[in-house]
Amino acid sequence: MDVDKETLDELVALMQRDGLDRIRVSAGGVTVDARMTASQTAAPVPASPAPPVPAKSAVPRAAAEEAPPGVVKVVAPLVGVFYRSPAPGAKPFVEVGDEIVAGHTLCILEAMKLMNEIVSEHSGRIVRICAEDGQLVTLHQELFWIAT
Amino acid sequence: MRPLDLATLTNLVSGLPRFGRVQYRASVGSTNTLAVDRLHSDDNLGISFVTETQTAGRGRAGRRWESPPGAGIYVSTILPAELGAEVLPALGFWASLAAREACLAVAGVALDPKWPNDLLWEGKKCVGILCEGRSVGQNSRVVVGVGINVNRPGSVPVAIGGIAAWLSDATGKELKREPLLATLLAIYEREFDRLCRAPREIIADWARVAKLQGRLVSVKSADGSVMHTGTVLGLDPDGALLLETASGTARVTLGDVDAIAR
Repeated sequence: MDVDKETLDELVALMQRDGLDRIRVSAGGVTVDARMTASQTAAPVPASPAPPVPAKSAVPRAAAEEAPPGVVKVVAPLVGVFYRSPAPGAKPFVEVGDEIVAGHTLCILEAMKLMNEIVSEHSGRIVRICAEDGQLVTLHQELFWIAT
Repeated sequence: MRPLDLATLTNLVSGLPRFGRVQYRASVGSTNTLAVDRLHSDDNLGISFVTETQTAGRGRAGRRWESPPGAGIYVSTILPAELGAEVLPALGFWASLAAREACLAVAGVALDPKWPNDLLWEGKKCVGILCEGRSVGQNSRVVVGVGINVNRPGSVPVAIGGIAAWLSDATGKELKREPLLATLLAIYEREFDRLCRAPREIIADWARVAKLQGRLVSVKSADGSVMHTGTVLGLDPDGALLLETASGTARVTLGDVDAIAR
């Protein structure tokens, strides 16, 4: 078994889907022992101005809700830590109800010390913020719903 | 300290088709902020912003990067093309490898990589890297900021007195900064296509150079609390640090990693 990112992502997704607190997998001389607790997840706890949210509360990709007509979803282009504001204690980039124009910064995703602003391609109103400040989000996980 | 000789620098980088444009300021708040503010314009792709001193130099998580006048290279480069999301995790490793190679080639100093991208001399920080980007859909424009401590200043800022190193500590003599900066940009030029084409190869290269496997390390959050302690198994293809801990395998994507003496 190769302990690569895909393998770990699959294990986390499996734990989220089935509500497992712990999973232990051994193969090819390698053992992966992953646990979900209220304070620590299978992934590291991010350094965040706000208390990190346990991965259990992350939105499982398999259970993604269909957006109503006229609403577009903004998804994570990469795996990273989701920050709602530009710096600890600063005002969030957007709140639910905000009207934005295309080009507006929605959040920051941090991956391997790259601080990456996620910019909206759409103008409209923020109707849902799908991740919590400091949460580790997975590839293509929903971040925002925007009513256009 | 001698100021950067712009004529020499310009001459050294003029043959670089994508990384040959340098904009110089005697003083600036932060070269990264300057560059990020200019990401929107196609005309700025490939430009490197260089200064003698930063009044608000910064690192990750709002930390300060001390930038004494004339003592270092403080450069932020807007990469010359938009990058796909799959390339982004490799950026810091790419810049780290480039800075390490430049320091080795020009100063003869082999710095030690610290995950994910700092470079150390005898355990003290000599090079810091801060990458910042802006993504629209799947494409990102990115700034790579590099700070290299080159010549130990006469007056070292108190905040970094015990934790920073300069290349001159290793060489025992003052170094010219122009060839070092020009070499860094030339390595960017040479390696940029490979970054775009094979980002995971870059990460694997970094892992080979860093030789972290088997080391006992601690991982601390920004507030200094220990998140993990364990033995390094290696890096995953996206650069995350894999640790064998008492409670199983941990995949680390954030934090300050320090070696623990066994």
